[in-house]
Amino acid sequence: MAAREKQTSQVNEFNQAFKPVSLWADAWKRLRKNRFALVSLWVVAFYILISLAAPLLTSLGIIYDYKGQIMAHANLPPSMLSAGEVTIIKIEARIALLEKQLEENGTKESAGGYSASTGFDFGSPAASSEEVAPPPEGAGEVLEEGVEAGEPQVSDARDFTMGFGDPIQTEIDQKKEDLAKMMKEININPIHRRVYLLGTDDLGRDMVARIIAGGRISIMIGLVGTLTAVFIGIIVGAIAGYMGGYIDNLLMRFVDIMYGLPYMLIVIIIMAMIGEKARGSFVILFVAIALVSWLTIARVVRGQIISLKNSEFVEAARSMGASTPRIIFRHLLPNTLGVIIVFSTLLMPGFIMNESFLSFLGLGVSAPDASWGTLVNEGVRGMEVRTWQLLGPAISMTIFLFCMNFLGDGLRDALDPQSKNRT
Amino acid sequence: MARYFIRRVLSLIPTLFIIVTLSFFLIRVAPGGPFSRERTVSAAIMENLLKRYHMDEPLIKQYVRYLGDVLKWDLGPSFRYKDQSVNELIDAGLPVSMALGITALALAVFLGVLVGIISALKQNKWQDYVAVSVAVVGISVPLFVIGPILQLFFAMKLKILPVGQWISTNGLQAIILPAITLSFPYFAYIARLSRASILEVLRSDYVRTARAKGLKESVVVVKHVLKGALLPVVTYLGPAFSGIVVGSIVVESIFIVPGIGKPFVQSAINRDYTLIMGDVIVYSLILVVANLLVDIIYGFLDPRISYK
Amino acid sequence: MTDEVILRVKDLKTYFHVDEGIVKAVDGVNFDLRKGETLGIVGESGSGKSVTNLSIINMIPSPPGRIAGGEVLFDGADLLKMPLNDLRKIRGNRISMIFQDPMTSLNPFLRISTQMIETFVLHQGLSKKEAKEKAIEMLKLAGIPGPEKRIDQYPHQFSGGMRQRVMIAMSLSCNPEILIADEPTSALDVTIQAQILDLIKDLTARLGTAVILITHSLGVVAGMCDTLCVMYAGRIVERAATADIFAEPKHPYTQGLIKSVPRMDKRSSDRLFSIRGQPPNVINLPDCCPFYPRCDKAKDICKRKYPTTTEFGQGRAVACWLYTEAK
Repeated sequence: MAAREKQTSQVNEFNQAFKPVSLWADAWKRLRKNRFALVSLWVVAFYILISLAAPLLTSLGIIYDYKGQIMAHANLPPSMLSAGEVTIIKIEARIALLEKQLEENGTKESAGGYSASTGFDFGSPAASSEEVAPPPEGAGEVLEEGVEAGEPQVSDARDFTMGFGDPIQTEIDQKKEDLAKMMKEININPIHRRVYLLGTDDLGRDMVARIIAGGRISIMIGLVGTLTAVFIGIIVGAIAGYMGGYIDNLLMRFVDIMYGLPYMLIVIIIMAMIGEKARGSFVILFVAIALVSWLTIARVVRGQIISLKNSEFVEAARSMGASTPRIIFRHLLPNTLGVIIVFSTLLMPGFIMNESFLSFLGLGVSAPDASWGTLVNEGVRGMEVRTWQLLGPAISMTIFLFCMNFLGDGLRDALDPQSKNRT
Repeated sequence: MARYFIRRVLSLIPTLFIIVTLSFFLIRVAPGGPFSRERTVSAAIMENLLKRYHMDEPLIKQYVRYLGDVLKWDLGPSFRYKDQSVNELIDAGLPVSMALGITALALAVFLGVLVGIISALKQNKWQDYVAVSVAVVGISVPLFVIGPILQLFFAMKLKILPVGQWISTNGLQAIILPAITLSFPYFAYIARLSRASILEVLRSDYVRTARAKGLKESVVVVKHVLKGALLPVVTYLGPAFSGIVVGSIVVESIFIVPGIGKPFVQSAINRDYTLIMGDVIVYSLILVVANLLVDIIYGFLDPRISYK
Repeated sequence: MTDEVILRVKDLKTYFHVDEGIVKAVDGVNFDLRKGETLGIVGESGSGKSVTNLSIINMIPSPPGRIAGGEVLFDGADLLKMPLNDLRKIRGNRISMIFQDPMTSLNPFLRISTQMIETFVLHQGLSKKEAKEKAIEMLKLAGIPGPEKRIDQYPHQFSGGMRQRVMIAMSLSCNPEILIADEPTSALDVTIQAQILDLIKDLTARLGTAVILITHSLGVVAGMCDTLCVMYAGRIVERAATADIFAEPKHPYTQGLIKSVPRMDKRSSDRLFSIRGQPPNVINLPDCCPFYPRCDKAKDICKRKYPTTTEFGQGRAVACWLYTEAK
């Protein structure tokens, strides 16, 4: 008891009390001073918490099921009002617009300005309509097998039946029918009481739920991938660094060559080559991305080990008869832990970026699962009119990556007192 | 110095070789052939097709034949676009991609270094905080988020820049958005890198000596600090260019730039073997040459290497 | 050495503000420097010797350090209060400084010629051609063989000792009145050390330069310095002519230092003497004599107040309670 007490309040030669500070406590203190990093830490923790709790929250009904498609609720903008009300507003707005156009048409002859875009459109009138105008050719679409990217994908076929009865009037009538139906349903079907805070996508799925689900997958990929890469990197780096000699040379040659390869290209090729079914498997995704991420960690760990290898405490351990693996794992690695942690926090956002990059190209996670990458991909398609479908996932993802980067920076400053960014 | 060059050039060859070989076998190994997506053809026609593309020969023989062709710079006919050769397709798209890539790199370096210098000299003042935040944003936001958002903003809402396409259709302005998008993460990284590097040099012993000699701070910075501090940026140019090459694939898709990036992924999905290989070879060549150039430039700038 | 005082340091205080508290690296340092005199400042690591020097020409990195008080009088002006533009005219010109590690003190990316020419051009307004000629002269004086060719080389092409010679040449270029040498030989091989010290001694005698030499080695001091200041925990604890200090050290710390030097004429089986304990961590030091935990002669008052300085005349002074009462 007495020994422990002495430890907490030591006294120096001038009889001043002071607390001995361990490396971690010191680092934590420094981290706390960095407000940006601290805020980032809470944000990241929040994201992770929500991701973990997502299935629970869904079953409790707090968030909606991200897979459930409700066509009646397709493409609703974000709103605090209930879904039913929003749908009604939407239909009414459409009717009003159509009626206005009908009026204008009565005084003009032309059938409006739908120009099939071959180039780009500076402010095509189609942009003002509620229904989406086909986005600039080929922009951001999932590249489908066998289809030439670039063939116009007209998702809403307009009826060019000029002279057969005004298409606008037909639509007005149909919309009024929908409106009437909706007003009846709204009181019966509880589903219309849902509130979609961030809107819905084109299959009527709640954006909030999708973003959370997407985040769950992206974060999980990031986490597991980073851990895998770090694990491999540590082992390779430690062995190379400690053993030295030709093992070191061999391993580092290997690392150099892999470093020089345009790996992203190869990953793209791999993912593209694999058939649709296999692509759905996360394992392949992990493997593909992790393939190269471990390189930097290996190099860093090796560097640290080499510089520590010859330090005195290692000699002391060796003189006491410690065996090689013991030295590596119990003595050297804990000292490199700081550096490893810093690199890991910076590796993870990179991982997520790579995965979402692949998903954006259509080569990553496949439906019905979503990751942030796929969400952004879908969002881009309608971004001019349904901006929320792009901004929701884009901003969520950006905030997370931003905070992870800040956190990584903060950790680096906290763990390395000589860091260049400090005064 | 000459030996240094020669050694670097020679090291290109194994890398290229590995890439080509790796890609070749990867592609062939993948399930599904180049014609599996076609409308089903009769067995006789299929046999002829295979013969025409030498696919009836054993794999190794195809490989050797291909290597030979590559050395003659004949990248073969496209499997998909029947009446065009890969060479033609690449010739059409490559200049565009190169123009985009180089512009993006130049932007990234120029702006990045500028911002880095400003924020290092005004450390911890508001200019620094703004610069660092912008830099972190740049590193955190993926290309395919920035691109569409810029497009949304400048092209669709504000309508001051074209949404896409290339110079031939829309004039010089068409390069602005794609180049900015592509350069953004690298500009951010370079800004951070140069800032950290300059700060470190400012603390070094030889800068202390310079100050002790009575030199003005501006002279110290320009004459003594910059040269050493910017070396890490030069080293980074290699990986930066590599990233730009990869990023161009996405940017070209978003902004409909007729380069070789956009069809690259498509060709992988279509199993257009020759086109993929052609693209891979061209990309690798570019990367490897770029890295070599960077090494050479670095060798010139750092006297410790030149005079070894 | 004449009696004319060219530099007077009065009650210099330099503090560093760090997370854990205030480090009073220099806490009330006084000394005078006469024309042509070689003054040595001796102390262990952390005693504040280097900080004292940097403070003289006001080159303390400003966060986290600041000069908290005192004056440095040179040619009628207080260097600490001088505007930077004027101070820069003095740096490298009338007061020069050389540093400890020649490997890192020269800019590896610039040629020696570039680095030497700047001083001439800046302070003496020479043309580049004239500057280069004078630089070659200085290199020759500093004992560098073949200076015409070597001046165009880069620092990494010189050995450690050579680099220090270049530094010395560079610092004496404008014939300064004071040369501050901060542990100029600590990073060099022992054989080279002697050469460099001889060079400094020789050149400064020839040019009439006063020298402030900082070192932790008594051996260096013995051969080079006229006067000696012993520093401990940010203050000067004893000051006297070198001969006097070696003959009759008054402060217990000085006595311990001298005793610690291994002697050739003692029996080799005697244990080596070292002062017990460690130099203190100068953060938040209480008001006491900082040496008392290690002092054999410590008295009660030593624990409670910092000793006042006792002057013995002829520049001899000690800060120790042992002598205050005696007088």
